[in-house]
Amino acid sequence: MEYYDVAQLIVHAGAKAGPYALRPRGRLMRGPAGLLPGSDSGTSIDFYDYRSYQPGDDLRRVDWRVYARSDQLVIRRFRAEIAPVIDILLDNSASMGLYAGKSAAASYVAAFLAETGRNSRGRPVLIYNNRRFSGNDFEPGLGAARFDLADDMMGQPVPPPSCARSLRVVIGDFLSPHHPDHFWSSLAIDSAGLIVVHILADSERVPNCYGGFKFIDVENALQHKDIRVNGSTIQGYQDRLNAHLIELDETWKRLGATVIRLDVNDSFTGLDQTGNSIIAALIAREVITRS
Amino acid sequence: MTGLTFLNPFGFLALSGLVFVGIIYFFYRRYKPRKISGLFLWESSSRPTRGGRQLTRPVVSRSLLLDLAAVFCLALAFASPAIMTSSPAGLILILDNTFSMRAHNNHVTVRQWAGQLLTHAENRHSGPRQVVILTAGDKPGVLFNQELYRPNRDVLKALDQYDPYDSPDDSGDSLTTCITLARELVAGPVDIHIFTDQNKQLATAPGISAAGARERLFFHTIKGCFPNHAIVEAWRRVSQDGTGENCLIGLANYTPHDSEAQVILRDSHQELARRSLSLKAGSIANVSFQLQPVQDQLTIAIQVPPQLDILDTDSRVCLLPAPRLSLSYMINLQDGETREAVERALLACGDTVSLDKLNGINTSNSSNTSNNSNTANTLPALLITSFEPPIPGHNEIKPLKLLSKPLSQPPGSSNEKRAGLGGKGTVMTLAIGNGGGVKRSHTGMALTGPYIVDLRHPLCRDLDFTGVYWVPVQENMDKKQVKVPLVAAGELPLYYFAYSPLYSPQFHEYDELVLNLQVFPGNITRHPAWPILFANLVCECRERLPGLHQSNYYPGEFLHWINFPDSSFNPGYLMGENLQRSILSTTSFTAVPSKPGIYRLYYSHSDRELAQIAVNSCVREESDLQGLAVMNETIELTAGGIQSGNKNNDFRNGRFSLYSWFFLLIGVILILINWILEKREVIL
Repeated sequence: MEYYDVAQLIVHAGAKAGPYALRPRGRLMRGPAGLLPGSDSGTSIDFYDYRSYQPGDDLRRVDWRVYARSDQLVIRRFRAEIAPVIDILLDNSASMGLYAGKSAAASYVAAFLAETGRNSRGRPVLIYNNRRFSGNDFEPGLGAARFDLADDMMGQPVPPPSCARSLRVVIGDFLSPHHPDHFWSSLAIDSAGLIVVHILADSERVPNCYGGFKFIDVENALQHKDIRVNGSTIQGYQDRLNAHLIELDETWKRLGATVIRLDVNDSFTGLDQTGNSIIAALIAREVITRS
Repeated sequence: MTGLTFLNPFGFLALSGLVFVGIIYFFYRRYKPRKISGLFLWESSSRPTRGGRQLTRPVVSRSLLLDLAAVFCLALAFASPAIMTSSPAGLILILDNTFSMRAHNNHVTVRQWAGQLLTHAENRHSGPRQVVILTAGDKPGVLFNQELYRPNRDVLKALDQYDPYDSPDDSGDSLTTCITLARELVAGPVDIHIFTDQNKQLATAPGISAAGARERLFFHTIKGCFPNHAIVEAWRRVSQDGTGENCLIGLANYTPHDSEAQVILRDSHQELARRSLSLKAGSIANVSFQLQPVQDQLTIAIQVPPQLDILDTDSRVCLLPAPRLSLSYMINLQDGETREAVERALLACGDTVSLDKLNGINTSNSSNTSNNSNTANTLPALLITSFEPPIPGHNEIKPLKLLSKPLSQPPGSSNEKRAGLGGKGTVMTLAIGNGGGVKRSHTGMALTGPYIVDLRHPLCRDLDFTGVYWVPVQENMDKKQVKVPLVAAGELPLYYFAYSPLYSPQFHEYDELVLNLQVFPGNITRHPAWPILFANLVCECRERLPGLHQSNYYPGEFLHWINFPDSSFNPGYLMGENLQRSILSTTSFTAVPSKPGIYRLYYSHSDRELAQIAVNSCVREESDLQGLAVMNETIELTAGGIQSGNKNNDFRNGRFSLYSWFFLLIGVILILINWILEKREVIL
């Protein structure tokens, strides 16, 4: 495994994220006061609805033109401007740490999206191991993340969102034998949006080992299997992987998630190369935009 | 006969590597642990197995098969497979039978070597069709010849007859003759193995190197030495090329120590040339002289340090540190035993001259000692041949002794003793052995005749008594009895009697002389031939001197020993194998070794027990003369020249070859393929 400096990676991601901001999602988010339009009415200048006048409403909000035309008193409603919460769920299971390219990409994405979220006046919150890191603790928490958890992410309980209608970003490889519906449905509930960053290493997509192997599950050493890897076994693996990915895609699609697939090298290929590929993928999926 | 064989069957022990490869695969290469994510994606329907040890059947993978195949190929390579495409129809062993072959190395004798070769050939080719064993000596001999050969003990018995003693050392021509004979005896493909100590350049001789396409020659050379006797072998070759004679003197130092020698060419008046030879241990050195056509007598003299003996293999004579008097070899006066012997000889002649005085005379009377030289270096000096004048009044002439048998009998008959230590065999034949002990008589009395000098003998060839006054003219002599011219020798006669059948009226045409020698102060001692004559006279006198008269004896020959006068009553004893001894007298005894071997004769002298080598080895078994092997090399000759063969006495030749390398290469390739496939993990 080629080691990389997590701190440098986080700094590099933050610097690269400077000109970018999170693109507003379809579903309106909630959050404290900020600059992004929220799902509720607020005090911004963006008109988005009328309602009937109720006693006590501010008369300055009465749309007198409508009254003149219809003799009905209606109140202008303006969209609220919020600072959305971006829950970044990081899969720090051992499978993510099997290849340096995966763990580096995961950390880079987390750091990058956090900075772009800040650029959008959002508030990123890092979640892993049932722990939350927000504010100034985000980067340190990200740097302290160790991809050695023996439990599969999708086999664990879904952590509750930091707030209602927060944007949820899930970063992982999602190579889990568990059925995806429950996990992802739980994640999507009461979220302003679901962004899935699916990271797979080249060796996981197309295995390149041949011969007799005793495969040991990295997340569960008690499980192993003696397999003679040849063309047919690799083909079977790929078929099953594709089926798994199709199942995930269907689930994500049904939940309206935005999926970004990152195929990374098994080894860490450097900060620039890692960052460029991630940024390109995020832009392609319209997750970020230049601010 | 064709067939597959393995030259190194022990190479198959490498097949044990198959077990180790299997173990490695079973325990270590079956499944490699690997952590992955999404294990559930690697199985279709079954649930992942639980952890824990499980016994599963080992997987026979391509990699395992490649490794096993590689180990098998390497084992084959180590086993050295060979396919015998053909075998010789005949196997010929030519054994150099000269005396020098008696020396052998520490490990194997020629007979053993030849036996091993024969056994090897039998095992490898299921026996050659014909086996011939020849000996190369003065004339080739066939020890064994059997067509439709089947391994049996007869061939080993034939090898037992190999006895390198009888032949003079001219095995160069003899080897050629043997090879020619061998080619006539065996038809078809043949392997000829020559065992000799000749220089390997002999292999390029025309008769030897002209091998046919169906013939292979193997030259097995062996050099040994005779440390017990520290012999330096010498030989002479004289050739004529029309401009004169080239005399080549070769010296082979079979001792384990370096030495040096001086080779001197002299005529009757002076030293003509002197060459120094550096004799490295186990080496051969040669020196040549260009002999101009001269009438004068030429002598080749060889001087060696005291610790060395000179063996002239041509004459089968081994010279001991005892008195060495010969035509060609110098005497080592620095050797105590030699001095003593010379003193005895001189005393036997009634001479009272000491050796020191002899040395002085040697340097002052150059005319007398023209045949001698006194080297100022560390090499020994020569015997000084000069006598003091005899004691007046003791110059009586002894009558001629009657011969026990006609002189027409050839030499070598039982009543005649061979005399002489140097040169080729007999110089003079004593008509009747005097026996007896030493007589300290007047000057020259012990040397009085008669002697028969065989002028036809090569050593006597140059004896020319022209100008020698043999007999003083006496008016009262009956000249009718003298059928030969009397030679005046000053005032005293040296020769005064003749025996009629031997002589012709012409002195110079006489084949033999009956010499009734009385050493008077005539000019005989100043004659240039006197040293020669004296040497032989002393040798003859040794017959009457204590000790052993001859060094080399053949089985069945009488070993005559005369005790010293001061010896104890017990005349001594002979140590050897299966000795039958008969004691004739307290002063002498004769022993007849029934079997050849080396004997040591122990005697007492001056209250000391001394020993002397009595008989040189003439054994039927291998030589007792063991020494160091200087060279042991096998050269394979093929048509068109010599090729260096296997120098390790390995007779596995000619048939092998590339199969071992082929399997080695295949094994390496399999290993490389397996390694590449495992690295790339190619999907078949």
